[in-house]
Amino acid sequence: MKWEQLRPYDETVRHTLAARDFRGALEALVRGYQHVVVGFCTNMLGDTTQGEEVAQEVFLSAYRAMPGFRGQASVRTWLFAIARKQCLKALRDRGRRSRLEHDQQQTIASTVHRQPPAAEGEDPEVKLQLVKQGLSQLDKAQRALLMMHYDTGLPVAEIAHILGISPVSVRRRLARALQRLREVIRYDA
Amino acid sequence: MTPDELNAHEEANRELVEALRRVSQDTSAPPEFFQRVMARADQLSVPRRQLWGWLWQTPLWSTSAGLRLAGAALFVLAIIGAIPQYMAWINAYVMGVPTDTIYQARVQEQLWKKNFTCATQIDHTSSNYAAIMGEDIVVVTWACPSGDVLVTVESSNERASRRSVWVPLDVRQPFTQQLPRLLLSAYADEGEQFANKRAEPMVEVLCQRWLPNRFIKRRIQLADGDCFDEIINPRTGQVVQRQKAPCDRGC
Repeated sequence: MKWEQLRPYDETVRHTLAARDFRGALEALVRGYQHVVVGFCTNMLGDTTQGEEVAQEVFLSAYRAMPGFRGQASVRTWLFAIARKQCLKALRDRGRRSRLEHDQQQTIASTVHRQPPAAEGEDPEVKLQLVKQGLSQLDKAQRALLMMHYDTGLPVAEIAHILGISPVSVRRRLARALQRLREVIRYDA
Repeated sequence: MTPDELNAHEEANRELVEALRRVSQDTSAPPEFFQRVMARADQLSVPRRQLWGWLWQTPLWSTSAGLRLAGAALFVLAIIGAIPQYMAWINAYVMGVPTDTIYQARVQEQLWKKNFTCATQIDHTSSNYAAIMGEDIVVVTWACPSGDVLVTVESSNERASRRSVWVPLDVRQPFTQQLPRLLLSAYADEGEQFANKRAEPMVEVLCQRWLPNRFIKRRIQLADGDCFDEIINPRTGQVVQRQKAPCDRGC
């Protein structure tokens, strides 16, 4: 993630929030972060349509929460705290409603297994599919953690801020999640 | 775990980390995403700061189930732990006294019940009776057989001129410290207005009875011969209502 490209949006968001122009802040926020948030939510939920819907909710939640944003955290930390919360909530709701998640995992698994046989690590696309499948089988919190750090590129310190834990704990959880992902992929393979 | 240790771990899982970094590379928001969000935002009311919004933004709610459970347990414990305080507020409201004087109010009410008959027998000719008379304030003490002493402070204020406070025989230090405050508060707001009138000491309690609302109604006769019906709050000792009455013993 090239965060430098988003810096002007961050500045705009901060200025418009300072001026209590919440709609202007939302515009800047959506323009700057729509692709990142949609990507995060889609891969968290494993479903494009639902990912987009939840991403919309993320921005609307941010809009509602704007009066309470004091600028203590960076815009992206604040936004990803909301995004993580909304995605976990959507996953919980989905889990309650049906066994859809399980079905999707099966779909992803069958898709992956239809790929031409290749040794692990040789074809980057197969590896990517395996990782996506593995992510969907991880614990929701571990999935969110790996996505935030590696896919989205949030630094450990910012994730620690989002989760309200120490950076040491974040690194420990990241290592554990990586280990778990490897085990899941090995098991599937 | 140190950053170096995590780096080593990442190095050992390099192909996984590289794949993870590409998970969202092909995912992007659809072209109409911006318009959709803004259209939905337009349907919302202008956001306002919520009083309890900060509570839901704390990281506690977004962390592990164990922490959430601990947080919920802590919240419930805090609520349960505060029940005595809620009860104190309710009691104070019902009794019509400040929260920090509930104990004294209860003691006073108990002493009124205990010495009710004695309180009707106040007799300024008795050796149990003593009065200190000043320009504006008269302090009368009346000792009961139980050993408890009724201290009545009277001022020239005709609206609510009397306040009676019991001093129990087994008086404890905190109560005696409270006593001057109880007495002084009776005149905090009425001294100026009636400063030039002379206080009239009560001579006799003609009759006395409990009212359904746990107040006491009594008819008294003053030194000048006038009679009054008074309604006393036994918890504060204050006369809450006073009106002229015939000088008989029919309460």
